[in-house]
Formats: sequence, C-alpha cells, structure tokens
Amino acid sequence: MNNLVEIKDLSFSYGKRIIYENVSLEIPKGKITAFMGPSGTGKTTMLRLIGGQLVPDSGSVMFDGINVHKLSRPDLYSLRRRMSMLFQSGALFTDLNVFDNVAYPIREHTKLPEEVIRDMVLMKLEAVGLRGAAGLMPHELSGGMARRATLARSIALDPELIMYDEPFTGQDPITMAVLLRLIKTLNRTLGLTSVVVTHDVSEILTIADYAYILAGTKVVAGGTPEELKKSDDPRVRQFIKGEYDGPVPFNYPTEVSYLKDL
Amino acid sequence: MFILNLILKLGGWGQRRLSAIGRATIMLFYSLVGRPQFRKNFPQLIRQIYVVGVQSISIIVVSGLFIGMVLGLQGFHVLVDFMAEGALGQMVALAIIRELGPVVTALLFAGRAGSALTAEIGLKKATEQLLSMEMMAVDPLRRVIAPRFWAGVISLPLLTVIFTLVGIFGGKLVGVDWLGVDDGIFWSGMQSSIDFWDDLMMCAVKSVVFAITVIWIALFNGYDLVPTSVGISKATTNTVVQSSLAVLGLDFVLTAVMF
Repeated sequence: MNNLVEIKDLSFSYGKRIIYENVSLEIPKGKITAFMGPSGTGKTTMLRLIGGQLVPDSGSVMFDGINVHKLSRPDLYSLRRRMSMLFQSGALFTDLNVFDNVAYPIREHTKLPEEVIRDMVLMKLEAVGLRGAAGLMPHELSGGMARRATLARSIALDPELIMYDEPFTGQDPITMAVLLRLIKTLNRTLGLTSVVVTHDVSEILTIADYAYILAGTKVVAGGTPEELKKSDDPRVRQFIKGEYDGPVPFNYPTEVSYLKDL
Repeated sequence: MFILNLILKLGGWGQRRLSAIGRATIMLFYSLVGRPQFRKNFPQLIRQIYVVGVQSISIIVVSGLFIGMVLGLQGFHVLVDFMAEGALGQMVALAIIRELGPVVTALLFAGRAGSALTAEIGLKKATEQLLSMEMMAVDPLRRVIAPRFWAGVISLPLLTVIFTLVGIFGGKLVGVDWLGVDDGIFWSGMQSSIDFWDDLMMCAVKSVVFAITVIWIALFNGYDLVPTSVGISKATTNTVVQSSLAVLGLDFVLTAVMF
C-alpha cells in the first residue's frame, strides 16, 4: 500500500513519563485513518510528533519519504505547508474575523491578489457551510461553527495531510453528523489524507478506512473497522464496546497499594 | 542536613533562573535574526505601536504633568528659603531628564503595556493559537513576538520624550504661572545647565535600555508561561515585578557607569 506517513520504532517520553515505546504505524495515502484510545494515552502527542512540534527520543517519522525530525528549521516550516492540523480548541485567531482567519495562511504563503484570495476564501467557507458567517468574529461563533471555520482555514492551502485533534468533543449530535460528513467529503473531493484522533468510536468507525487503537504506550490493534469489530482481543473489545471493566486500566497507576494508602 | 537542603534549593533555583535566561535569549534570537519580512511585518508593527505606544500616551501625559507640578511645588518651597528660586527650572529639568523621565515612563510602561502583552501572548498560547500558527508553517516568533518587540523599543523612548516635555511644562506651570518665579530666569537657568551629552544622551540611552528590558521580560513571560489561568495571572504579575526591579537596578548601574 502507498503510505503518506510511516512511523518506525518511535519512543517518546515527557520527562520520566513514557508516552510511547517502539510504536510503528502507517498512514495510507488518500484514506481516513483513525487514532482511538482512552484519554491521556498521548494521541494528540502523536499528531504533534508527526507535525515536528515534538522530537521523539528514538525512532523516525517519515512524511512522504522525508524524515520530519532530521530537517532544518526552514525546511521543517516548508514541509508543514503540506500538512495541516485542526486543534481541539479550534485555535482561531481571536483578533481576526472568520474571513481573515481563513485568508491568513493564503496571505502568508502566497502573493495572490486580494480578489483571488477573496474568491478562494469564499469557496472554502462555502464548503463548510459558513459563507454567511464570513464577517463574524470567533467569539460570536458556536462551538460547532468554530470547528468548521477552523476546518476551512486548514484546507485553505489544499494540504496533503490533515490531522483532526478530537473534532467531535463537546458537539451536539447534529454538528457531529455534519462534521463526520464534512471530513468524509473533503477527504474524497480534495484527495486528502486524513488522520482523526478521537474516542467517539462508533461514529468514527462509520467513515474511517483504517483505525489504530493506542493504549498504554503501545499500538494495541490496527485494522479496518470490520477487522476491529470482529477482533477477539479483549482490550480491543473493551474499547470498541465501551465496557468499564477489562484489561485496560481505568485507575491512574500508583505504586502504593490502596490498603496501605488508607 | 538543613544546610545541605538549603544549598540544594539554592542550586535548583539558580539552575531554573539560568535556564530561563537561556530560553529567553533563544526566543529573542530566533525572533530577530533572519531575513526581514517587511511586507508581512510592517502592518503588524504599526498596529502594535498603536497598541503599546499610542494607547499609553494618556497615562504618560497625566503622570508627567503631575510629577512635574509636584517637583515645581516642592522645589520652590525648598529653594525660596535660600532666595534661590531662580534655580527651579534647572532643578526640575535635571531631575526629570536624568532620572524621573526614563525611569517613571519605563515603570508605567511595564504596568500598562508590558502586563497586557504578557496576558495577550499567554492567552494565544493557552488557546493553541501559537501552535496552530506553527502548524500553518508561520513562525510565531517572527510574526507575533518580533513586531511587538520592535513596537516596544520604538514606543518607550518616544513616550519618555513626551513625559519629559510634559513634566517640564508642569514644573513651569506651578513655578512660573502660579508661584511667580521669573519666566526668563526659569528657562535660561534650564538652558545653561542642561548638557547635550551628559543629560539628553543619558536620558536616551537609559530609555532604550529600559525599553529592551521591559519588552523582553514581558514577551518572554507570555511566551514561556504555563498555559492555564493561574499561569497567566502569575506571568502578568512576574512581568510587572521583574521589569520594575530590573529598571530600577539598571538605572543605578547606568548612572554609575555613565557619570
């Protein structure tokens, strides 16, 4: 299979806390890949490792055959033009309105005349259904609208890879359905490669082509949604079905036993 | 054991300070060194000069006026006992140009603009705006930090000039117009005692040094803070405290070195 991102034997830790140990995974080109897993397993960290914002302790991240962490600062910045990331909080620039937010990356990286930029921005905004909200400021938007505005900004320069960090958190069912459909249609029509980090398992499995379950420093399982649903690995079953009891621990690890602590 | 712990703590504190200074230097280096991008940064610079400079004018003018007036009033009552009220102009001008002008302007600037910058940058960090800029292949150091730095370095010396002029006018208002010191003696005493190099240049050097110090501390505290509400409030306090202390300390050092 043709992979856009290949991660090999990656280890990463925050100080003494180990986040990943020898993780290897691939993100196929043109598909939607989901990263699922309990909160706090460092799914966002994985995205920031791919984007080169964090440096792994060992192992490599290859983006289209280029080792992300071996690049100089200017080269890394030019590589980042080929990817984009949707942050959990939306991260719209609060001092610019929706139109200028979407125009921002275009103005930064091209010398196009304003009329062309205007048309491009309106097309992107229409794609996410927010053409009418172009003049609003970020604080006037609802949570779902802010996500969609950020989405428009992320696709402004037609990246090859788009990474969604928890796009569904705190969204009502309708917005969630809208976002799901948007991710799918954008992926198909723009020929993108998408990575979605989420723990909304049932929703994401309806659109994902491939999914990984990350838990406790490892990739627990990976496969197509059908393969995962059929899997008899107890950790996969617990996560897919959302059972509270199982091999994946709920408690934060501690060295002192409960009895002794009391 | 107690001594050992004390030394350990002191060492740890020193290490944290040193690493903060290192990070601050790296931040400033990456913001300022590199190919200038006038087309993109110039509008930002103008906007920031408006925010940190123009919007600080009112507080600078009011403070300058009152400080000049108080100096005139206090000075007059001391000098009049020695029949030396003719030296009032000289006294007010020297005090303001050499010390009060650059120092008080820098302190007010730290409170008015420095804390606001720290909070703004901190909030941009907390809401992932800086991270998302990085992912858009836009360097936040070059686009967010650099224009604010230059805006501060340009604005503070200009504000110092305004403060100084208004302060001297305040002294004249009280001394000449209210208490009746002779107009000609007031101004000619001032003119003959102010030296271009010793006084005006000293004022200029001080205000540029203070500008770099205050704005650097403010930007670094914002850029380096822990992105939570507690972190932001702590960083804004740190900006005001650290830059005030730095300004007062540097003022002594500069005066000692240059005189």
